[in-house]
Amino acid sequence: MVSLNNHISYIEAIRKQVSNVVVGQDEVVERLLIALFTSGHILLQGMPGLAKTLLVNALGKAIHLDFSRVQFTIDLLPSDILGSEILDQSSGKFTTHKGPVFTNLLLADEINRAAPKVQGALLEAMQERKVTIGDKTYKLPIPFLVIATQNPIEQSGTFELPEAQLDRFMLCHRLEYPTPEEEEEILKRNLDLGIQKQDGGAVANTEFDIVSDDPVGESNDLISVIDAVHQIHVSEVFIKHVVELISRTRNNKHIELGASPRAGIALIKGARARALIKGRDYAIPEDLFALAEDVLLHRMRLNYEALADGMNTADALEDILNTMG
Amino acid sequence: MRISKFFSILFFLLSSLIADDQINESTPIGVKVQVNDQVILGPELEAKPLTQNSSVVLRIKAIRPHGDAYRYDYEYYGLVSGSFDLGDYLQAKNGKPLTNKPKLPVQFKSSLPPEQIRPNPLEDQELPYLIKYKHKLIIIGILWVLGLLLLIFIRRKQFGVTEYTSQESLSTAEILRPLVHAAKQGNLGKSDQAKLERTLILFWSERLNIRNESSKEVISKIRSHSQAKLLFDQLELWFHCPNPEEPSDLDSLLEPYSKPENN
Repeated sequence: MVSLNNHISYIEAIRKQVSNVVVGQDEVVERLLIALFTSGHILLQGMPGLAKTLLVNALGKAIHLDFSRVQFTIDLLPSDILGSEILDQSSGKFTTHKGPVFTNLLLADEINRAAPKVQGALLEAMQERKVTIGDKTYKLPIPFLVIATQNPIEQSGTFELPEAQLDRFMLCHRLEYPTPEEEEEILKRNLDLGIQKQDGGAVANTEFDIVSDDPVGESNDLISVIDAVHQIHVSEVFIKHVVELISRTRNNKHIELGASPRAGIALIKGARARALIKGRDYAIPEDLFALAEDVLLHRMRLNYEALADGMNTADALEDILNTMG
Repeated sequence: MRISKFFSILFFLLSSLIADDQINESTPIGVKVQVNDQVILGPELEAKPLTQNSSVVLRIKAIRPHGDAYRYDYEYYGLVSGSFDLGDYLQAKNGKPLTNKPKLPVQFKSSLPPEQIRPNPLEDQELPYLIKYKHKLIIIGILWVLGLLLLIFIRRKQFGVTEYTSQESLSTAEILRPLVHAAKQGNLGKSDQAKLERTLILFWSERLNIRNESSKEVISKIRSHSQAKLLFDQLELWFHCPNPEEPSDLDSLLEPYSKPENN
Protein backbone atom coordinates (compact mmCIF):
# COMPACT_ATOMS: atom_id res chain seq x y z
CA MET A 1 0.00 0.00 0.00
CA VAL A 2 1.59 3.24 -1.14
CA SER A 3 1.17 5.98 1.44
CA LEU A 4 -0.24 9.42 0.80
CA ASN A 5 3.21 10.91 1.36
CA ASN A 6 4.65 8.87 -1.51
CA HIS A 7 2.00 10.22 -3.85
CA ILE A 8 2.65 13.76 -2.70
CA SER A 9 6.40 13.30 -3.24
CA TYR A 10 5.76 11.96 -6.75
CA ILE A 11 3.48 14.89 -7.62
CA GLU A 12 5.96 17.39 -6.17
CA ALA A 13 8.74 15.83 -8.23
CA ILE A 14 6.67 16.24 -11.41
CA ARG A 15 5.92 19.86 -10.56
CA LYS A 16 9.59 20.52 -9.81
CA GLN A 17 10.74 19.03 -13.12
CA VAL A 18 8.16 21.07 -15.02
CA SER A 19 9.15 24.21 -13.15
CA ASN A 20 12.75 23.71 -14.29
CA VAL A 21 11.66 24.79 -17.78
CA VAL A 22 8.35 26.58 -17.21
CA VAL A 23 8.34 29.57 -14.89
CA GLY A 24 5.19 30.10 -12.80
CA GLN A 25 1.99 28.63 -14.24
CA ASP A 26 1.62 26.57 -11.03
CA GLU A 27 -2.13 26.67 -11.33
CA VAL A 28 -2.06 25.38 -14.92
CA VAL A 29 0.25 22.54 -13.93
CA GLU A 30 -2.13 21.69 -11.10
CA ARG A 31 -5.09 21.69 -13.51
CA LEU A 32 -3.21 19.49 -16.00
CA LEU A 33 -2.41 17.02 -13.25
CA ILE A 34 -6.04 17.06 -12.09
CA ALA A 35 -7.18 16.29 -15.64
CA LEU A 36 -4.55 13.56 -15.99
CA PHE A 37 -5.37 11.91 -12.66
CA THR A 38 -9.12 11.96 -13.30
CA SER A 39 -9.06 10.96 -16.99
CA GLY A 40 -10.59 14.25 -18.00
CA HIS A 41 -9.65 16.63 -20.78
CA ILE A 42 -8.69 20.24 -20.49
CA LEU A 43 -9.23 23.32 -22.64
CA LEU A 44 -6.72 26.12 -22.16
CA GLN A 45 -7.82 29.60 -23.14
CA GLY A 46 -5.06 32.10 -23.50
CA MET A 47 -2.91 34.24 -25.68
CA PRO A 48 -0.13 32.73 -27.79
CA GLY A 49 3.32 32.58 -26.20
CA LEU A 50 2.29 31.46 -22.73
CA ALA A 51 4.37 28.26 -22.90
CA LYS A 52 1.43 25.94 -23.39
CA THR A 53 3.30 23.58 -25.72
CA LEU A 54 6.43 23.66 -23.60
CA LEU A 55 4.37 22.92 -20.52
CA VAL A 56 2.67 19.90 -22.03
CA ASN A 57 5.97 18.68 -23.47
CA ALA A 58 7.67 18.96 -20.11
CA LEU A 59 4.79 17.28 -18.32
CA GLY A 60 4.73 14.41 -20.81
CA LYS A 61 8.46 13.78 -20.41
CA ALA A 62 8.29 14.08 -16.62
CA ILE A 63 5.62 11.35 -16.43
CA HIS A 64 7.12 9.35 -19.30
CA LEU A 65 4.10 9.75 -21.54
CA ASP A 66 3.92 10.03 -25.33
CA PHE A 67 3.20 13.51 -26.54
CA SER A 68 1.79 14.76 -29.88
CA ARG A 69 0.91 18.22 -31.04
CA VAL A 70 -1.58 19.06 -33.79
CA GLN A 71 -1.98 22.59 -35.07
CA PHE A 72 -5.64 22.89 -36.01
CA THR A 73 -6.32 24.74 -39.24
CA ILE A 74 -9.30 25.27 -41.47
CA ASP A 75 -8.16 22.64 -44.01
CA LEU A 76 -7.46 19.92 -41.45
CA LEU A 77 -9.35 16.67 -42.08
CA PRO A 78 -10.56 14.13 -39.51
CA SER A 79 -8.18 11.56 -41.02
CA ASP A 80 -5.26 13.93 -40.30
CA ILE A 81 -5.94 13.40 -36.62
CA LEU A 82 -7.45 9.95 -36.39
CA GLY A 83 -5.46 8.21 -39.12
CA SER A 84 -6.37 6.49 -42.37
CA GLU A 85 -5.96 3.36 -44.45
CA ILE A 86 -3.22 3.60 -47.05
CA LEU A 87 -2.78 1.27 -50.02
CA ASP A 88 0.57 -0.49 -49.94
CA GLN A 89 1.41 -0.79 -53.64
CA SER A 90 3.98 -3.51 -53.14
CA SER A 91 1.57 -5.87 -51.36
CA GLY A 92 -1.65 -4.49 -52.81
CA LYS A 93 -3.19 -4.39 -49.33
CA PHE A 94 -4.43 -1.55 -47.20
CA THR A 95 -2.38 -0.75 -44.13
CA THR A 96 -3.61 1.38 -41.27
CA HIS A 97 -1.74 4.58 -40.60
CA LYS A 98 -2.59 5.72 -37.08
CA GLY A 99 -2.93 9.45 -36.60
CA PRO A 100 -1.47 11.67 -33.88
CA VAL A 101 -4.46 10.98 -31.65
CA PHE A 102 -2.78 7.68 -30.71
CA THR A 103 -0.75 9.17 -27.91
CA ASN A 104 -1.01 9.82 -24.19
CA LEU A 105 -0.92 13.60 -24.24
CA LEU A 106 -2.38 15.31 -27.27
CA LEU A 107 -2.01 19.05 -27.58
CA ALA A 108 -4.76 20.27 -29.93
CA ASP A 109 -3.52 23.75 -30.64
CA GLU A 110 -6.17 26.34 -31.55
CA ILE A 111 -8.96 23.77 -31.71
CA ASN A 112 -11.49 26.40 -32.78
CA ARG A 113 -9.67 26.98 -36.08
CA ALA A 114 -10.67 23.55 -37.46
CA ALA A 115 -13.98 22.80 -39.15
CA PRO A 116 -16.73 21.37 -36.93
CA LYS A 117 -16.39 17.86 -38.40
CA VAL A 118 -12.75 17.75 -37.30
CA GLN A 119 -13.65 19.08 -33.86
CA GLY A 120 -16.44 16.49 -33.72
CA ALA A 121 -14.08 13.65 -34.65
CA LEU A 122 -11.63 14.60 -31.91
CA LEU A 123 -14.31 15.17 -29.30
CA GLU A 124 -15.83 11.77 -30.11
CA ALA A 125 -12.43 10.13 -29.67
CA MET A 126 -12.05 12.01 -26.38
CA GLN A 127 -15.33 10.66 -25.08
CA GLU A 128 -15.20 7.10 -26.38
CA ARG A 129 -11.42 6.68 -26.09
CA LYS A 130 -11.43 4.63 -29.26
CA VAL A 131 -11.13 5.41 -32.95
CA THR A 132 -12.54 3.65 -35.98
CA ILE A 133 -10.34 3.60 -39.09
CA GLY A 134 -11.88 1.82 -42.05
CA ASP A 135 -13.78 -1.08 -40.53
CA LYS A 136 -11.49 -1.56 -37.54
CA THR A 137 -11.85 0.04 -34.13
CA TYR A 138 -8.69 0.85 -32.18
CA LYS A 139 -8.51 1.70 -28.51
CA LEU A 140 -6.57 4.82 -27.64
CA PRO A 141 -3.57 4.51 -25.31
CA ILE A 142 -4.14 4.82 -21.58
CA PRO A 143 -3.88 7.41 -20.12
CA PHE A 144 -5.28 9.64 -22.84
CA LEU A 145 -5.45 13.33 -22.16
CA VAL A 146 -6.38 16.02 -24.67
CA ILE A 147 -5.11 19.48 -23.92
CA ALA A 148 -6.85 21.81 -26.35
CA THR A 149 -6.10 25.48 -26.64
CA GLN A 150 -8.00 28.39 -28.07
CA ASN A 151 -7.31 32.07 -28.39
CA PRO A 152 -10.09 34.02 -26.66
CA ILE A 153 -9.54 37.25 -28.59
CA GLU A 154 -9.01 36.48 -32.27
CA GLN A 155 -12.36 35.08 -33.37
CA SER A 156 -12.35 35.75 -37.12
CA GLY A 157 -12.14 32.54 -39.17
CA THR A 158 -12.82 30.34 -36.17
CA PHE A 159 -15.58 27.85 -35.40
CA GLU A 160 -16.74 28.32 -31.84
CA LEU A 161 -17.17 25.06 -29.96
CA PRO A 162 -20.84 24.54 -29.12
CA GLU A 163 -21.91 24.09 -25.49
CA ALA A 164 -22.50 20.34 -25.94
CA GLN A 165 -18.90 19.86 -27.07
CA LEU A 166 -17.46 22.25 -24.50
CA ASP A 167 -19.21 20.15 -21.86
CA ARG A 168 -16.90 17.25 -22.76
CA PHE A 169 -13.92 19.18 -21.47
CA MET A 170 -13.70 18.54 -17.77
CA LEU A 171 -11.83 21.78 -17.20
CA CYS A 172 -11.47 25.01 -19.11
CA HIS A 173 -8.63 27.04 -17.66
CA ARG A 174 -8.00 30.65 -18.55
CA LEU A 175 -4.29 31.27 -18.77
CA GLU A 176 -3.00 34.53 -17.43
CA TYR A 177 0.16 36.44 -18.17
CA PRO A 178 3.01 35.81 -15.74
CA THR A 179 3.60 38.23 -12.89
CA PRO A 180 6.42 40.79 -13.37
CA GLU A 181 8.69 38.66 -11.16
CA GLU A 182 7.97 35.55 -13.21
CA GLU A 183 8.44 37.49 -16.43
CA GLU A 184 11.85 38.64 -15.22
CA GLU A 185 12.81 35.07 -14.38
CA ILE A 186 11.69 33.89 -17.86
CA LEU A 187 13.89 36.47 -19.53
CA LYS A 188 16.88 35.66 -17.32
CA ARG A 189 16.57 31.95 -18.05
CA ASN A 190 16.29 32.65 -21.75
CA LEU A 191 19.60 34.54 -21.61
CA ASP A 192 21.38 31.45 -20.29
CA LEU A 193 20.05 28.96 -22.88
CA GLY A 194 23.23 29.07 -24.96
CA ILE A 195 23.76 27.39 -28.32
CA GLN A 196 24.27 23.90 -29.62
CA LYS A 197 26.85 22.99 -32.24
CA GLN A 198 26.08 20.21 -34.63
CA ASP A 199 27.29 19.01 -38.03
CA GLY A 200 29.65 21.92 -38.43
CA GLY A 201 26.91 24.45 -37.68
CA ALA A 202 25.36 26.07 -34.60
CA VAL A 203 21.88 27.01 -33.51
CA ALA A 204 20.52 28.85 -30.49
CA ASN A 205 18.94 26.61 -27.86
CA THR A 206 15.26 26.90 -27.08
CA GLU A 207 13.47 25.94 -23.89
CA PHE A 208 12.50 22.66 -25.57
CA ASP A 209 16.17 21.70 -25.73
CA ILE A 210 16.56 21.81 -21.97
CA VAL A 211 13.49 19.72 -21.17
CA SER A 212 14.80 16.70 -19.30
CA ASP A 213 14.11 13.35 -20.91
CA ASP A 214 14.40 11.58 -17.56
CA PRO A 215 10.98 10.69 -16.21
CA VAL A 216 10.07 11.17 -12.58
CA GLY A 217 9.41 7.91 -10.76
CA GLU A 218 8.18 4.71 -12.35
CA SER A 219 5.29 4.17 -14.75
CA ASN A 220 3.40 2.44 -11.95
CA ASP A 221 3.53 5.62 -9.88
CA LEU A 222 1.02 7.30 -12.16
CA ILE A 223 -1.31 4.32 -11.92
CA SER A 224 -1.15 4.33 -8.13
CA VAL A 225 -1.80 8.09 -8.03
CA ILE A 226 -4.86 7.64 -10.29
CA ASP A 227 -5.98 4.86 -7.97
CA ALA A 228 -5.34 7.04 -4.91
CA VAL A 229 -7.47 9.82 -6.34
CA HIS A 230 -10.36 7.38 -6.45
CA GLN A 231 -9.82 6.58 -2.78
CA ILE A 232 -10.12 10.22 -1.69
CA HIS A 233 -13.07 10.57 0.68
CA VAL A 234 -15.92 12.80 -0.45
CA SER A 235 -18.29 13.55 2.40
CA GLU A 236 -22.04 13.84 2.11
CA VAL A 237 -21.73 17.47 3.17
CA PHE A 238 -19.34 18.12 0.30
CA ILE A 239 -21.77 16.53 -2.17
CA LYS A 240 -24.49 18.81 -0.82
CA HIS A 241 -22.23 21.83 -1.47
CA VAL A 242 -21.76 20.64 -5.06
CA VAL A 243 -25.47 20.09 -5.58
CA GLU A 244 -26.25 23.53 -4.14
CA LEU A 245 -23.72 25.19 -6.43
CA ILE A 246 -24.93 23.35 -9.54
CA SER A 247 -28.53 24.09 -8.62
CA ARG A 248 -27.77 27.80 -8.22
CA THR A 249 -26.27 27.98 -11.69
CA ARG A 250 -29.52 26.56 -13.06
CA ASN A 251 -31.73 28.87 -11.04
CA ASN A 252 -29.97 32.16 -11.46
CA LYS A 253 -31.80 35.07 -13.03
CA HIS A 254 -28.79 35.92 -15.21
CA ILE A 255 -28.11 32.42 -16.54
CA GLU A 256 -29.96 30.80 -19.40
CA LEU A 257 -28.00 27.54 -19.46
CA GLY A 258 -26.77 26.22 -16.13
CA ALA A 259 -24.26 23.52 -15.31
CA SER A 260 -25.00 19.94 -16.38
CA PRO A 261 -24.87 16.85 -14.15
CA ARG A 262 -21.56 16.13 -15.90
CA ALA A 263 -20.30 19.38 -14.37
CA GLY A 264 -21.18 18.09 -10.89
CA ILE A 265 -19.31 14.86 -11.57
CA ALA A 266 -16.33 16.85 -12.84
CA LEU A 267 -16.38 18.99 -9.67
CA ILE A 268 -16.26 15.92 -7.45
CA LYS A 269 -13.53 14.26 -9.54
CA GLY A 270 -11.50 17.46 -9.69
CA ALA A 271 -11.90 18.09 -5.96
CA ARG A 272 -10.63 14.57 -5.23
CA ALA A 273 -7.54 15.08 -7.39
CA ARG A 274 -6.89 18.52 -5.92
CA ALA A 275 -7.25 17.15 -2.40
CA LEU A 276 -4.55 14.57 -3.16
CA ILE A 277 -2.29 17.17 -4.74
CA LYS A 278 -2.73 19.30 -1.60
CA GLY A 279 -1.91 16.30 0.60
CA ARG A 280 -5.35 15.51 1.96
CA ASP A 281 -7.33 12.31 1.82
CA TYR A 282 -10.66 14.14 1.78
CA ALA A 283 -12.17 16.95 -0.26
CA ILE A 284 -13.10 20.26 1.37
CA PRO A 285 -15.04 23.35 0.21
CA GLU A 286 -11.75 25.04 -0.68
CA ASP A 287 -11.34 22.51 -3.50
CA LEU A 288 -14.82 23.33 -4.71
CA PHE A 289 -14.23 27.08 -4.73
CA ALA A 290 -10.83 26.65 -6.38
CA LEU A 291 -12.17 24.53 -9.24
CA ALA A 292 -15.62 26.06 -9.70
CA GLU A 293 -14.51 28.57 -12.33
CA ASP A 294 -12.62 26.03 -14.45
CA VAL A 295 -15.35 23.41 -14.24
CA LEU A 296 -18.46 25.54 -14.55
CA LEU A 297 -17.72 28.66 -16.53
CA HIS A 298 -17.54 27.05 -19.99
CA ARG A 299 -20.74 25.15 -19.30
CA MET A 300 -22.84 28.19 -18.48
CA ARG A 301 -24.49 30.68 -20.81
CA LEU A 302 -25.91 34.05 -19.86
CA ASN A 303 -29.41 35.06 -20.85
CA TYR A 304 -30.23 37.97 -23.11
CA GLU A 305 -31.04 40.38 -20.26
CA ALA A 306 -27.70 39.77 -18.55
CA LEU A 307 -25.79 40.19 -21.82
CA ALA A 308 -27.70 43.42 -22.48
CA ASP A 309 -26.64 44.60 -19.01
CA GLY A 310 -23.00 44.02 -19.99
CA MET A 311 -22.47 41.09 -17.59
CA ASN A 312 -20.18 38.19 -18.31
CA THR A 313 -20.37 34.56 -17.16
CA ALA A 314 -17.49 34.99 -14.73
CA ASP A 315 -19.36 37.80 -12.93
CA ALA A 316 -22.47 35.66 -12.66
CA LEU A 317 -20.52 32.70 -11.25
CA GLU A 318 -18.62 34.89 -8.79
CA ASP A 319 -21.94 36.31 -7.65
CA ILE A 320 -23.25 32.79 -7.03
CA LEU A 321 -20.12 31.71 -5.15
CA ASN A 322 -19.99 34.85 -3.03
CA THR A 323 -23.61 34.61 -1.96
CA MET A 324 -23.82 30.85 -1.51
CA GLY A 325 -25.10 30.84 2.05
CA MET B 1 -89.83 27.72 -99.87
CA ARG B 2 -93.38 28.34 -98.77
CA ILE B 3 -92.89 26.03 -95.82
CA SER B 4 -89.77 27.85 -94.72
CA LYS B 5 -91.56 31.23 -94.90
CA PHE B 6 -94.43 29.80 -92.86
CA PHE B 7 -92.06 28.61 -90.12
CA SER B 8 -90.29 31.96 -90.12
CA ILE B 9 -93.53 33.80 -89.52
CA LEU B 10 -94.57 31.28 -86.86
CA PHE B 11 -91.24 31.63 -85.05
CA PHE B 12 -91.50 35.44 -85.24
CA LEU B 13 -95.02 35.38 -83.76
CA LEU B 14 -94.00 32.99 -80.95
CA SER B 15 -90.89 34.96 -80.05
CA SER B 16 -92.94 38.18 -80.07
CA LEU B 17 -95.42 36.55 -77.70
CA ILE B 18 -92.57 35.46 -75.41
CA ALA B 19 -91.12 38.96 -75.58
CA ASP B 20 -94.52 40.45 -74.76
CA ASP B 21 -94.68 38.18 -71.70
CA GLN B 22 -91.32 39.43 -70.59
CA ILE B 23 -92.29 43.03 -71.24
CA ASN B 24 -95.54 42.75 -69.37
CA GLU B 25 -93.62 41.83 -66.27
CA SER B 26 -92.13 44.83 -64.45
CA THR B 27 -88.43 44.39 -63.88
CA PRO B 28 -86.79 45.97 -60.84
CA ILE B 29 -84.39 48.81 -61.61
CA GLY B 30 -80.82 47.67 -62.09
CA VAL B 31 -81.70 44.03 -62.61
CA LYS B 32 -80.39 42.67 -65.92
CA VAL B 33 -82.76 40.94 -68.32
CA GLN B 34 -81.29 38.58 -70.88
CA VAL B 35 -83.13 37.96 -74.17
CA ASN B 36 -81.86 35.38 -76.66
CA ASP B 37 -82.75 34.58 -80.26
CA GLN B 38 -85.23 37.40 -80.82
CA VAL B 39 -85.88 37.98 -84.53
CA ILE B 40 -86.29 41.64 -85.43
CA LEU B 41 -87.32 42.44 -88.95
CA GLY B 42 -85.56 45.06 -90.94
CA PRO B 43 -81.91 45.95 -91.40
CA GLU B 44 -79.16 44.96 -88.98
CA LEU B 45 -79.44 46.97 -85.78
CA GLU B 46 -77.07 48.18 -83.09
CA ALA B 47 -77.49 49.80 -79.66
CA LYS B 48 -77.39 53.57 -79.55
CA PRO B 49 -74.48 55.00 -77.53
CA LEU B 50 -75.42 55.79 -73.92
CA THR B 51 -76.02 59.42 -72.96
CA GLN B 52 -76.56 61.22 -69.67
CA ASN B 53 -80.32 61.05 -70.29
CA SER B 54 -80.49 57.32 -71.10
CA SER B 55 -83.10 55.61 -68.94
CA VAL B 56 -82.29 52.13 -70.19
CA VAL B 57 -78.99 50.42 -70.80
CA LEU B 58 -79.16 48.12 -73.80
CA ARG B 59 -76.34 45.88 -74.99
CA ILE B 60 -76.50 43.64 -78.08
CA LYS B 61 -74.38 40.58 -77.45
CA ALA B 62 -74.79 38.60 -80.66
CA ILE B 63 -76.40 39.06 -84.11
CA ARG B 64 -77.13 36.21 -86.51
CA PRO B 65 -78.84 36.38 -89.94
CA HIS B 66 -82.33 34.95 -89.98
CA GLY B 67 -83.74 34.86 -93.54
CA ASP B 68 -84.26 38.48 -94.55
CA ALA B 69 -84.19 39.54 -90.89
CA TYR B 70 -81.71 39.21 -88.04
CA ARG B 71 -81.79 37.26 -84.80
CA TYR B 72 -80.46 39.04 -81.71
CA ASP B 73 -79.14 38.11 -78.27
CA TYR B 74 -79.30 41.17 -76.03
CA GLU B 75 -79.56 42.30 -72.46
CA TYR B 76 -80.95 45.39 -70.84
CA TYR B 77 -81.66 46.96 -67.48
CA GLY B 78 -83.46 50.06 -66.39
CA LEU B 79 -82.01 53.06 -64.66
CA VAL B 80 -85.33 54.73 -63.78
CA SER B 81 -88.83 53.36 -63.20
CA GLY B 82 -91.45 53.57 -65.92
CA SER B 83 -92.36 52.15 -69.34
CA PHE B 84 -89.96 52.40 -72.24
CA ASP B 85 -89.51 51.07 -75.76
CA LEU B 86 -86.21 49.37 -76.48
CA GLY B 87 -86.74 50.37 -80.13
CA ASP B 88 -85.87 53.93 -79.08
CA TYR B 89 -82.44 52.66 -78.08
CA LEU B 90 -81.68 50.97 -81.40
CA GLN B 91 -80.37 52.34 -84.68
CA ALA B 92 -79.50 50.89 -88.07
CA LYS B 93 -75.96 49.67 -88.33
CA ASN B 94 -75.65 51.11 -91.83
CA GLY B 95 -76.35 54.62 -90.44
CA LYS B 96 -79.60 55.10 -92.35
CA PRO B 97 -82.71 56.23 -90.42
CA LEU B 98 -85.09 53.42 -89.50
CA THR B 99 -88.35 53.43 -91.43
CA ASN B 100 -90.04 50.68 -89.39
CA LYS B 101 -88.74 51.07 -85.87
CA PRO B 102 -89.29 47.78 -83.92
CA LYS B 103 -91.59 47.93 -80.91
CA LEU B 104 -90.03 46.34 -77.85
CA PRO B 105 -91.86 47.72 -74.78
CA VAL B 106 -90.29 47.22 -71.36
CA GLN B 107 -91.32 48.28 -67.86
CA PHE B 108 -89.15 48.95 -64.82
CA LYS B 109 -90.32 49.35 -61.29
CA SER B 110 -88.59 50.88 -58.29
CA SER B 111 -88.30 49.11 -54.94
CA LEU B 112 -88.61 52.45 -53.20
CA PRO B 113 -91.95 54.12 -52.53
CA PRO B 114 -93.04 56.74 -55.12
CA GLU B 115 -91.16 60.05 -54.97
CA GLN B 116 -88.38 58.55 -52.87
CA ILE B 117 -85.22 58.64 -54.88
CA ARG B 118 -82.68 57.62 -52.24
CA PRO B 119 -82.49 54.38 -50.27
CA ASN B 120 -83.61 54.44 -46.66
CA PRO B 121 -80.86 55.51 -44.24
CA LEU B 122 -79.36 52.62 -42.21
CA GLU B 123 -80.84 52.27 -38.79
CA ASP B 124 -78.68 51.63 -35.71
CA GLN B 125 -79.60 48.21 -34.60
CA GLU B 126 -78.46 46.28 -31.55
CA LEU B 127 -76.03 43.49 -32.42
CA PRO B 128 -77.49 40.08 -31.73
CA TYR B 129 -74.72 39.48 -29.15
CA LEU B 130 -74.58 40.10 -25.45
CA ILE B 131 -71.62 42.45 -25.80
CA LYS B 132 -70.84 45.01 -28.44
CA TYR B 133 -67.95 44.68 -30.85
CA LYS B 134 -66.05 47.54 -29.22
CA HIS B 135 -66.35 45.90 -25.82
CA LYS B 136 -65.25 42.61 -27.33
CA LEU B 137 -62.07 44.27 -28.61
CA ILE B 138 -61.37 45.80 -25.19
CA ILE B 139 -61.81 42.43 -23.45
CA ILE B 140 -59.56 40.67 -26.00
CA GLY B 141 -56.95 43.41 -25.50
CA ILE B 142 -57.01 42.98 -21.71
CA LEU B 143 -56.74 39.19 -22.03
CA TRP B 144 -53.79 39.58 -24.42
CA VAL B 145 -51.93 41.83 -21.98
CA LEU B 146 -52.70 39.46 -19.08
CA GLY B 147 -51.44 36.53 -21.15
CA LEU B 148 -48.24 38.37 -21.96
CA LEU B 149 -47.64 39.23 -18.30
CA LEU B 150 -48.31 35.63 -17.28
CA LEU B 151 -45.87 34.37 -19.89
CA ILE B 152 -43.18 36.78 -18.68
CA PHE B 153 -43.65 35.97 -15.00
CA ILE B 154 -44.07 32.21 -15.44
CA ARG B 155 -40.88 32.17 -17.51
CA ARG B 156 -39.05 34.12 -14.83
CA LYS B 157 -40.37 31.78 -12.16
CA GLN B 158 -39.13 28.82 -14.18
CA PHE B 159 -35.67 30.28 -14.04
CA GLY B 160 -36.09 30.37 -10.28
CA VAL B 161 -35.54 34.05 -9.78
CA THR B 162 -37.42 33.92 -6.54
CA GLU B 163 -36.12 30.61 -5.28
CA TYR B 164 -33.48 32.01 -3.00
CA THR B 165 -35.13 35.39 -2.37
CA SER B 166 -36.62 34.45 0.97
CA GLN B 167 -33.26 33.24 2.26
CA GLU B 168 -31.28 36.06 0.78
CA SER B 169 -33.58 38.64 2.31
CA LEU B 170 -32.32 37.43 5.71
CA SER B 171 -29.00 38.67 6.99
CA THR B 172 -26.15 36.21 7.40
CA ALA B 173 -26.50 36.45 11.17
CA GLU B 174 -30.19 35.61 10.97
CA ILE B 175 -29.50 32.52 8.84
CA LEU B 176 -26.62 31.48 11.10
CA ARG B 177 -28.42 31.76 14.46
CA PRO B 178 -30.86 28.82 14.12
CA LEU B 179 -28.16 26.64 12.50
CA VAL B 180 -25.73 27.23 15.37
CA HIS B 181 -28.52 26.61 17.85
CA ALA B 182 -29.38 23.29 16.11
CA ALA B 183 -25.70 22.32 16.06
CA LYS B 184 -25.40 22.91 19.80
CA GLN B 185 -28.51 20.82 20.36
CA GLY B 186 -27.06 18.06 18.18
CA ASN B 187 -29.93 18.31 15.72
CA LEU B 188 -27.93 19.28 12.67
CA GLY B 189 -28.67 17.12 9.58
CA LYS B 190 -26.29 16.80 6.65
CA SER B 191 -28.07 19.53 4.68
CA ASP B 192 -27.91 21.85 7.66
CA GLN B 193 -24.25 21.02 8.19
CA ALA B 194 -23.56 22.05 4.59
CA LYS B 195 -25.61 25.19 5.06
CA LEU B 196 -23.84 26.02 8.31
CA GLU B 197 -20.44 25.69 6.67
CA ARG B 198 -21.41 27.84 3.69
CA THR B 199 -23.02 30.47 5.89
CA LEU B 200 -19.92 30.64 8.07
CA ILE B 201 -17.82 31.24 4.94
CA LEU B 202 -20.24 34.00 4.02
CA PHE B 203 -20.13 35.38 7.54
CA TRP B 204 -16.35 35.56 7.57
CA SER B 205 -16.20 37.11 4.10
CA GLU B 206 -18.46 39.86 5.43
CA ARG B 207 -16.52 40.24 8.65
CA LEU B 208 -13.21 40.53 6.79
CA ASN B 209 -14.89 42.81 4.27
CA ILE B 210 -13.69 40.70 1.32
CA ARG B 211 -17.06 39.75 -0.13
CA ASN B 212 -16.35 41.56 -3.39
CA GLU B 213 -13.13 39.67 -3.98
CA SER B 214 -12.94 36.46 -6.02
CA SER B 215 -14.14 33.34 -4.24
CA LYS B 216 -10.64 31.83 -4.40
CA GLU B 217 -9.22 34.91 -2.68
CA VAL B 218 -12.02 34.86 -0.12
CA ILE B 219 -11.31 31.26 0.89
CA SER B 220 -7.59 31.86 0.92
CA LYS B 221 -7.92 34.91 3.20
CA ILE B 222 -10.37 33.20 5.52
CA ARG B 223 -8.01 30.24 5.84
CA SER B 224 -5.14 32.53 6.72
CA HIS B 225 -7.10 34.29 9.48
CA SER B 226 -6.17 32.66 12.80
CA GLN B 227 -9.64 32.63 14.36
CA ALA B 228 -11.38 31.55 11.15
CA LYS B 229 -8.75 28.89 10.45
CA LEU B 230 -9.37 27.32 13.84
CA LEU B 231 -13.10 27.16 13.15
CA PHE B 232 -12.87 25.76 9.62
CA ASP B 233 -10.20 23.19 10.55
CA GLN B 234 -12.58 21.86 13.19
CA LEU B 235 -15.53 21.90 10.78
CA GLU B 236 -13.49 20.00 8.17
CA LEU B 237 -12.68 17.27 10.66
CA TRP B 238 -16.32 17.12 11.62
CA PHE B 239 -17.98 17.35 8.18
CA HIS B 240 -15.48 16.08 5.62
CA CYS B 241 -13.02 13.64 7.21
CA PRO B 242 -13.40 9.93 6.45
CA ASN B 243 -13.71 9.40 10.22
CA PRO B 244 -15.67 12.49 11.30
CA GLU B 245 -15.16 13.79 14.80
CA GLU B 246 -17.54 16.23 16.37
CA PRO B 247 -15.48 18.95 18.08
CA SER B 248 -15.29 18.31 21.81
CA ASP B 249 -15.71 21.99 22.57
CA LEU B 250 -18.46 22.57 20.02
CA ASP B 251 -20.38 25.00 22.24
CA SER B 252 -17.41 27.29 22.76
CA LEU B 253 -16.39 26.93 19.10
CA LEU B 254 -19.78 28.09 17.84
CA GLU B 255 -20.55 30.50 20.69
CA PRO B 256 -19.33 33.60 18.79
CA TYR B 257 -21.77 32.75 16.01
CA SER B 258 -24.83 32.06 18.15
CA LYS B 259 -25.52 35.76 18.62
CA PRO B 260 -23.56 37.44 15.86
CA GLU B 261 -24.11 41.07 15.07
CA ASN B 262 -26.20 41.78 12.02
CA ASN B 263 -23.97 42.85 9.18
